[in-house]
Amino acid sequence: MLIDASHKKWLGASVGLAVVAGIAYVPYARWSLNGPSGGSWSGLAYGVAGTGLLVYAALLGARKKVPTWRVGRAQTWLKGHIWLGLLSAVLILLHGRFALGGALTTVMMLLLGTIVASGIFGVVLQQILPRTMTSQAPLETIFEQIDHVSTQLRAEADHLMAIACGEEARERKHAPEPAIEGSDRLKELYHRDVRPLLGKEPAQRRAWVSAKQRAALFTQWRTLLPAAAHDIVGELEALCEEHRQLEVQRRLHHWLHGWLFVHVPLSMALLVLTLAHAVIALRY
Amino acid sequence: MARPRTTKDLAKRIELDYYRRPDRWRRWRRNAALGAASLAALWLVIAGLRGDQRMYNSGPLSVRHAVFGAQCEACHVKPEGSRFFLRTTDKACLACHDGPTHHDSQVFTPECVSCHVEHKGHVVLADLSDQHCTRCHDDLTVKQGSLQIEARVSNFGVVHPEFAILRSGARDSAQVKLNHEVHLKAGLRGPNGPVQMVCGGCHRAGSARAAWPYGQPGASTSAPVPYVRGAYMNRIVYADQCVGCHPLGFDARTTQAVPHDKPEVVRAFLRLFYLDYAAAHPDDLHGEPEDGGGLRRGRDDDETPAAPPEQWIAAQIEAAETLLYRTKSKGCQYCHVMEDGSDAGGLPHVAATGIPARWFAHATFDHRTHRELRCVACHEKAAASRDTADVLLPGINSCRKCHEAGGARMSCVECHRYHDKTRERDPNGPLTIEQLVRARP
Repeated sequence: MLIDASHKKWLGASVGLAVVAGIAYVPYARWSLNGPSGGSWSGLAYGVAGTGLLVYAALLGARKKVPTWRVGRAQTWLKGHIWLGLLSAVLILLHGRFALGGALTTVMMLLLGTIVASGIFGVVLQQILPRTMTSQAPLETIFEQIDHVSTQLRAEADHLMAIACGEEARERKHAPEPAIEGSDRLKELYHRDVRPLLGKEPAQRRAWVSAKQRAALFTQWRTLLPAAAHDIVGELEALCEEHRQLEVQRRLHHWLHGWLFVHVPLSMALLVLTLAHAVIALRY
Repeated sequence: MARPRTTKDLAKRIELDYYRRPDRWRRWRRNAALGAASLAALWLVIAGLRGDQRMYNSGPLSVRHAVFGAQCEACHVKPEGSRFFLRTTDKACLACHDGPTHHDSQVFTPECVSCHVEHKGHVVLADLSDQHCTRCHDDLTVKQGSLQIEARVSNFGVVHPEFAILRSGARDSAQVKLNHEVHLKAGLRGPNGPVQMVCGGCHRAGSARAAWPYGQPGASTSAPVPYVRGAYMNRIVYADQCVGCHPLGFDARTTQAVPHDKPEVVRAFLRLFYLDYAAAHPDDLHGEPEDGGGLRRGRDDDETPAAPPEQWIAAQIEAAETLLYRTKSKGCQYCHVMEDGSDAGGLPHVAATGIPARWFAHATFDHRTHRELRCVACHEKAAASRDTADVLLPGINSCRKCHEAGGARMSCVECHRYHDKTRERDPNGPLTIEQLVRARP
């Protein structure tokens, strides 16, 4: 989500509440008889508020699962997730008096820290990568369809080569045209330099990282091949560029969403441990 | 040739039902989330099955309670009527601890856990903030009777009265005559020639083991004051601090000295001594003791007839006791105060010395932690004191030179203890070792 002017109210409210909580903590820590403690009334208040916000942040997943729920726009929930999630970390730090405590609470604090850090990392990526994707992969498609489109591009490239070699017609209704001059050399270069890069294997896909490499390759082809083959070379180059951009999109998408593999599972673990912590703490 | 790429061409590439198929990324993410939650739950379950509750500790226990780290129920017990909630009650603490009341007249008695807070890793649970004390002492009231101490004590550095013994102008009530100024003069006659006495010649904290310079060689009897070893000065004992310069001679015919003991013991010693002497020196059984209490010497030219041994011995004993007990500038009265009257045997009553082992009745002090200071740095009046009744205790302002804000610690518990240790039960607790390690009384 892009952090823009529409976040001002959320930012102001979260920072304001964090400051109020911090200011209230000072006299509590300074003058409470035994120092700050998560088990005191003030400490419990911080803990309950922090846990409440944590649960709210976790409900974003449920909200996304059921988009038909009339409980506010997903955008609003996401803003709340970001800012109130950060506020919950502040409140929980105050609840835990900035200490790790025992084994359970230490693990919880480490989880919380990692979750917050991964969340911030995700938000930062979302400020950068969508723009990068727009500039570096203007031919992007739906992420889930990248493999499907790549397969089509591969077939299209093979078809182009068949046309150039006089094996297939450009249109089904027509007969194949004669092979163009230099088609043998073109076919050899295609199978040596391009076809492997259009393969399904990740190692093959990764070779398409550089637009310069791609341009240099086809420039070299044009010097090696007669002018009659240059049109086909141009088409192949455009096709390969589109394929390359899809791979760039795939990679950027992995960055854009990969952090969720840390953020979401650890959040679930934290919720389980929080429940145990709350029950045990209230009992004892 | 430009490659045609219309919107229609692009749309044709997309499978219309792609969103119905499960997304691999989402599936992996969901599985990872379920796996992480399961791992967390598994950790809790395994710990529960092993009966290990240490993971739930909100923080490290204090050193003294570390043995109960895995036994929450040792301290957290079910209050009456509760089936789920547990509390740390005073009863649980008092099962092992003795918590004598602070004062009979105190207005309220706090719960143990309101002061001694566990799970904070404190080394000493009694190391409390001043607020615990000033809750009452900032404006002290008593349940009954009148207030006997200062009503307002809130801070050692500013709002704390002078030490009671100095505030009341009290005098040292010890029944011993001692002149510090004389003892600290140069060139005093010592056991082996002139000496320059120093404070440590007589006053040492209990942990010191070196021989006493003016004591009886090889026979240290000076017991440490029975509080914290080394915190207080050893008791002044004749055999350790005095005998070297003040031997209890009683007869010029011998270098022996009477024991520094009760008059009955001294009389028994004298009787045995003169019995032995009479047996060994039958020719000396004539002559009268010299008047004036001086040490007597038998004379060879004495013409008086020999006295019967019993009569002679009685006369010798009487002469020695006169010297020891009834001569003001010599013998026992040189240091001790004799009470009026005597017992049936004519023996005097020597007043108990009554040298205070501790001067602060309601506070503690540790000389060890102040060992880097010269004695007279605090006890400034000691070197000039001539009168036993002088109280040589330093005043509160002397302490405040170091114990001030930003300096040495000055919290209440540095000197004071809440629980009245004089009321502690004897160290014969209720638990067996098995009960202790299982942590159930």
